[in-house]
Amino acid sequence: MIRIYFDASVIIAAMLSPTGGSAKLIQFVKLGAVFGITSQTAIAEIEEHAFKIGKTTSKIRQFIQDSGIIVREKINKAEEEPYQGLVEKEDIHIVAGAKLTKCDYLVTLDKKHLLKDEVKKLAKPLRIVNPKEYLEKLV
Amino acid sequence: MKQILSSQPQEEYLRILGKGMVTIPKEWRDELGLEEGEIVKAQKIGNKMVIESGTERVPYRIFSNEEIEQWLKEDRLPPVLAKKIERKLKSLTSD
Repeated sequence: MIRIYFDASVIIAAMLSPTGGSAKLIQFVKLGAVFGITSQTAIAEIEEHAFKIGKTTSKIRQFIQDSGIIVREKINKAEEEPYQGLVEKEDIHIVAGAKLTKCDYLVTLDKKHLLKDEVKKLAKPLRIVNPKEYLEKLV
Repeated sequence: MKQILSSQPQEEYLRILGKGMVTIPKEWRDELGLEEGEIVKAQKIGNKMVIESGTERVPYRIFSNEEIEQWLKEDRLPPVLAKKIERKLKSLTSD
C-alpha cells in the first residue's frame, strides 16, 4: 500500500476545511486506501498553532486519532543530521520523517519551503506533492 | 520569530552598572528572542556566569495567518476533481 507522509500544513487544512483536498485525502486514509503517517514533531508544530487556527490541543489530538494517521515518535537530532545544510533547518524534521518512515509521498501545502524543485530533487525517490496532485493520481 | 541561531561563540565586554545590572547586547537579545520582563535562568559556574533563555527554540516553523489562508486556497478542489473523488470514496465505502 502507498505510504503518505502528512506535514502540519495538510493536517491543519484538513481540520479547517472539510471539503478541501487535505480532508478528502484523510478520508482515503480512514478507508484504508492509503497509509497515512506523520510524526510527534509535526503534531507539536500543529499544536503550536492551536490558538491561531481556533482549535484546542484536545481537539487537535482527537482529530489525529480519528484520522487513522499513524504517528511516529519525535524526529531526534541524530535522525535530522543527514539533512543538515541540505534543507532549511525548520523543514528537516519533515523530510527526515518521511524518509525514516519509508513513505512514497510527502504531502504538503507549503509552496514556499517544500514544494520547490530543489527540495523535490533532493528528496527523491520520495515525491513531494500537494494533496490535489496526489488525489488526481489516486482517482 | 528568529530560529536560525549562530553556533559560533560571541564575546562582548559588558559594564556592570548600579545594583549589578548589565545590558545584554541588543543583537543577542534579538537573536535569542529575549524580551523585557522575560525570566531567564542564570547559573554561576566557578568564575563564570551563564544566562539561558527560558524558552527552547522550536525545531519547526511558525506560520502566519496569511500562510494558513493561502494553504486553504491551494487546498480547494476543482468541481470535476471533487466529483471524481466523491465517486471513488463512495465505491470504497460500498466495498
